[in-house]
Parts: sequence; structure tokens; C-alpha cells
Amino acid sequence: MDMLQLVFAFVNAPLFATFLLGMFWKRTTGHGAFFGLLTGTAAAALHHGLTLPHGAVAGIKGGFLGTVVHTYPSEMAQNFWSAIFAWTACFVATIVISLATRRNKSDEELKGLVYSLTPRQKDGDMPWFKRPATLGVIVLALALVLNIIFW
Amino acid sequence: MERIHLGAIDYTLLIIYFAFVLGIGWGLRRFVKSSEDFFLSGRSIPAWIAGLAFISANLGAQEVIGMGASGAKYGMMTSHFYWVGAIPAMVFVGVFMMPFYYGSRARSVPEYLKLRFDEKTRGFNAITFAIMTTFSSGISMYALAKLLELVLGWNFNTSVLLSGVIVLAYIFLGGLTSAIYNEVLQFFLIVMGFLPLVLLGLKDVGGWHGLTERLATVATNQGFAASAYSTSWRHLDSAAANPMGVEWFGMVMGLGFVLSFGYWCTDFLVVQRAMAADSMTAARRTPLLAAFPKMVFPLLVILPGMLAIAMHVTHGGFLPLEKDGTPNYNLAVPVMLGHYLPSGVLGLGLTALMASFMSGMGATSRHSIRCGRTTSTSPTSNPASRTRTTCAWARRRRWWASCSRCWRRTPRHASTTSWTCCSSCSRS
Repeated sequence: MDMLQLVFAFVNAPLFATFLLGMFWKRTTGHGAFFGLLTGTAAAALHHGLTLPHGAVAGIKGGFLGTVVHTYPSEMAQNFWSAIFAWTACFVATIVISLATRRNKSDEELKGLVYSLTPRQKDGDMPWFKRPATLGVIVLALALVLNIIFW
Repeated sequence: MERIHLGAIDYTLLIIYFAFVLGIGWGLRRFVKSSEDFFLSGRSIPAWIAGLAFISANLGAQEVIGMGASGAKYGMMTSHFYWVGAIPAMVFVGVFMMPFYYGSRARSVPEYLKLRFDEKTRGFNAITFAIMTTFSSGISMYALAKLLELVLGWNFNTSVLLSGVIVLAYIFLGGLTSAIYNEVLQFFLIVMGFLPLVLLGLKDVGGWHGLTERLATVATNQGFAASAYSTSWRHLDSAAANPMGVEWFGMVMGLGFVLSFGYWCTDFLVVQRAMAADSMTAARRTPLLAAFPKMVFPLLVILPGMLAIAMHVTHGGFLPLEKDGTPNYNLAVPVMLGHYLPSGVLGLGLTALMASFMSGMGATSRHSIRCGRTTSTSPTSNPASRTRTTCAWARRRRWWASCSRCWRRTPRHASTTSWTCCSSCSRS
């Protein structure tokens, strides 16, 4: 479980930043995405290599870069923060590099791949209980209620 | 520890399950003609089936064993993995992301990256995915073999090999459709196997009230406030106050935003389930419908772990110990199964467990094939030929008349994809 979150922090966390920018910002470039992903993964490795969960020895659990700058109370906390660092590094690096490089795809090529260039789904003709947005709100409200019950 | 003894009826249930799994693959094999059929099921699955498969693809062994283990280790805070770390992201996927995935030409993450960015981004992602896949199927295989060895006394190597062979056989026989129907079966198996476990366990400790009282002992023994194991948010103000060692910002930002959205938005093991749905609307509803059962799953998978640790501390020695004297949390669920379920129901519970292992490994292996194929075929494959593939499926489903009419009408420029055509005509 903890191990799996570690893998997610290295792979999925930076990838999510790339997807978010790729889908909602058409200015994102190929170079930006690639070096952003690289930076994000490196940031996860750096953070993992410089920190340790409480009571663990340096190695697969982290701290493999020699010095330990921070000790987390648990592996889970360490993984959460690895993910935060990886995502932030990838997000910022992708934006900066994209702004500095030229777009490699035209608007026509990005049709269906970027939100602003994709035709909107029309939900208006569906009955209200079938619309994704309505379902989404119901689901979120129920989740909120559960959180409050077990607060 | 007490070793679980399986009766003849339990073995029979296990054998029936495996026969059934392979049978589905065999039976559906003749319908699978193209790679579209293999990976996207020819887009013929209704929303509710896709929804159950969507949730089951995520309900692998790591989830069933892992969430139980976390329930024992961290208590009620494990519910954050559901109500914070899954539901909002699933809603986001359904409302915002699915129109891209379903409507675009991309059928996997590397394929999307190739189309949206360039070859090097795809390459980098393919490498990290390969490493990730190796890790997670390795963890799954190891956990399964360890479980069979410890609990049932089966030989470690034999059980790894056996499960590997069965997983491969059923992937190659049927592709995604057989996986999807198996996942629906697995969903019901897990509910039927785990619900009695939770009910019997709760009855034994005196209901939710009895459980919180016992968990208070667990918490105070470790120096936490009495409610640290039975509440989710109350002790998140500082990392030192709760067993997970996380404060609210790390929880909401790290798990709730980055990890959870990262997983649900980019993990095509689950997204593919929605893409197999029979229309765009069905695909968008898939994650939303899946969110309903997902919300009540903590009751099925976390509670057994919490019950196990409560029993462990108040009865003494319920769970086997690790070398350093801490309880072996990973065995919480198997021990509970062995302790509470009578012969017959036990077979059902173990079958559910096996099914979750199969789904986890099946999904990851299929994913590696998927990535391998995208590398070998051109990602920008001719849309017209794909249209024919999908329409061939539609013909089988007796939509041919309307579909061909629609196809002739639709201008065939690059962005018109086959399924927007076929799904629109199947609706009209």
C-alpha cells in the first residue's frame, strides 16, 4: 500500500501536471512537457532521497542521497509530500519551458486533444437526472455527508 | 497463527471460479476480431456494466488487502483514500476529462502524449510506465504467493506460476470484454464474501459503539487521543496527533489533489473501462455511477482491518507478529476471513480475494501489451479504417443500416472519429 503510493508519486504525480496543462492550455509545447516530466520525476527522486520516514534506515525507504534533511512521522506522509513536490516542479517547469519554446502543433492538429479546441458536449436535451453534472453534484454532496458523519 | 483450513466445498468454489474465468475468455474469443475489439471491447458495453468494471479494475489485491492493512494500521483515517482521495477525482474524470478520452483518437496515455506533444514525451512516459507496471505486478504476485504460502500452506513458487498462467490465458483469450465481465463478477464476489465478515465481526465486538471503545484502547496504548482510530478528520491539525502522521494540508493537497487526480485521470487501466461504454454519455456517466459503490466500500474493506486490530489489542495475539514485534497488518484481512467465515462462505471470500488478484495482475499485464502495441503501430492510424472496424462491430449488433447511413453522411475529416458517428446514429 505505502509502496504503491511511492510509485504513484514518482510516475502519476508529474504526469497529472503534464495532462492538466496539455488538456487545458493549448500553449503547452512538446519540449515543455518532456522536460517538465523529467523535472517532476527528478524532484520526486530528490525529495525521496533527502528524507526518511521515522525509524527507517536509508535505502529503498529514502535518504539514499547521503544527508537526511527531514524526517516524516510515517511513510505515507513522505509519499504525499514527494507527490506534492513532483507535481509542483513539473507544473512550474512545464509552464516556464513552454513559454520559452515554440509551439510544435497547430490548432488544427490539437482538435479533440485540448479543451478549448474540442466541441462542447450538449447535455441540455437530457433529463436532469441523467446529466453528468447533476450526478457529479449528488456524488460530491454524499461524500461530504460521509466525511461529516465520521468527522 | 491459526492456519485456514479449506473444506471440499471451498476448493470446489475456487475451481468453479477459475473454470468460469477461462470459460468467459474462451466464449468471447470469437467476437474479438481487431485490436479495437480487444482493447476497447468494440464500444458495446452499457454504462452500468462499465461502471462496475471501472470500480472493480481499481479493486485489485492491493486495494482489498492494502486497505484492510491500512485500516488496521491507521484506523478510520484510511477512509480519506475514498472520500477525499477518490470521489472528487472520479467526478472530475466523468464531467471534464471523459469527453477528451472518449472523443479523441488516443486510446492510452502514451498515445495521447504522442498526439498532443511529441515522440520523446511518449517515450519517457512509456519507460516510467514499464517500470511502474513491473513494480505493481511484482507486488501483486509476491503478495498472492505469500498469502497462499502463509495461510493455506501452498508452495510459494507453484502458486506464483499457477496464477501467472491463468492470468495470461484469460487475457489472451478474450481481451477487455472478458476482463470487464469478470470484473463485474468479481465485484459481486467481493460484496458477498466481505459483507458477512463485516457483519459477524461487528456483532462480535458489540457494534460500532463496541468497536470505537476497543479502538480507544488501541489509540491510547500508542499515545494518541482516544478517538484517533475511529475518526477521520478530528486529529489532522498536526502530524504528531494521528497514526498516519499527516497534517491536513499534506492530506488534501498530496492525497486529495495530486495523487488521487493523478491516478484517476491518467490510469488507463480504469479509464479504458469507461471508454468501452457504448456512447459518449454512457462513458461520462461511468465514473459517476462507479462513485456510488466506491463511497460505501470503506465499510467492506477498511472495517475488517479496524476490527482485526481492535481484536488484536483487546484479546491479545489475534494477528501474527512481525520480527520487530509489531502486528503483521497485511494479514489482517486473511486472518479475519479464516476466523469468521464458515466453510463454504470461506471459499467465497477466498475466491473474491483471488479474483481481486487476478484483476490487478490481468489489468497490468494487459496494459503492458497495450503499450507494446502502441509502440509498434502508428498512433496516428487512419481514422477511416478505424471507422470501418467499429462499424463492423455495429453491424454485428444490427446497427448496420443506421450506421452506414450515418457514415456516408458524416464528413470524414481527421477529427471525426468513428464512435461519435456510430454512437450518434445508434441513439437516433
